[in-house]
Amino acid sequence: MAAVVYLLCALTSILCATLLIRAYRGNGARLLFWSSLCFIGLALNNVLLFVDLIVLPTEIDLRPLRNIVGLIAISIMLFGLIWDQER
Amino acid sequence: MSDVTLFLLAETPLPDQVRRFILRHIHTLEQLEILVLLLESAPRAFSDQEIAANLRTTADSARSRLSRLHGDGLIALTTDPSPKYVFKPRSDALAREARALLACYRERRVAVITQIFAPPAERAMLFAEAFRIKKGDG
Amino acid sequence: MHPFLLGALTMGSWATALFFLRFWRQSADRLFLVFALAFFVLGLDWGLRGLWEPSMETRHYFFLVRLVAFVLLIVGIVDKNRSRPAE
Repeated sequence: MAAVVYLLCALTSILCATLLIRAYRGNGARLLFWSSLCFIGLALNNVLLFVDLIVLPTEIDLRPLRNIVGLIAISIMLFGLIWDQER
Repeated sequence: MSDVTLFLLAETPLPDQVRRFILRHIHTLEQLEILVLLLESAPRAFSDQEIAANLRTTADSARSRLSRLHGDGLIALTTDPSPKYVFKPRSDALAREARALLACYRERRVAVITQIFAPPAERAMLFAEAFRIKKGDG
Repeated sequence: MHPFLLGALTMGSWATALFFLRFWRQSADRLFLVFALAFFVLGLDWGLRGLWEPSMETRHYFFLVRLVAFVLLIVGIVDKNRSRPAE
């Protein structure tokens, strides 16, 4: 059950990233670029969650990696929101 | 109208539909007035000179607003014998939104004008539009 | 290390949610409200993981919170695509 949820989360993130990349290619607003990177990072975060909790044995702990990936993703999003103040 | 009613009218935001319509199609006061003129006089058609005279603006500036409104699918161009513009939206949805705008304009002109000059928040709109899977304007 | 990362993740998500809230106010587009809520819940997920170090048995229950966040994203996207014809 948890496995399904993590995969669903990953797929949703990939969907968001795809839509944003497509729109960015269409008209190039930079916020679209940064937020698509964020959603790719979130997708990665969810995939790692799946791998860590479902696939790998409990001795291996991917938490630092997972969380750093997530933090990079969110940081990119915030950077895009704050820095690019084009109207 | 009582003071309380006036205050409430001024403070409550415009309906979402009208607000989005303005964000998408109405960027100058002139565009608004041209659209209102054509809407109220529909199905009568006007040439750009007539519109310019009516609104006391130049024919050039009227023409550029008209072509923008035409590009957005809000007005149609007839050429019999001279080019004239008439309110004829491309879709029912657009027609409904335009009429809603007209209603708001009549009751709450200042709110509508304020919304036209509000900061465009363009990148917000672009972000939101990215999530429309099927492109095709409404 | 983990509480630090998770705290940063929560803060970053909530800051992102605030930006989306502002976009909602500016553009009256419901999508932003939904995204703001989604990122708020995502932050909640990370925050809860930071506050309550999950044991081996309970760690899968956090997925419920994550599920809410991503379901919200899906709801937002579906809603965005449905309301167009009706308008």
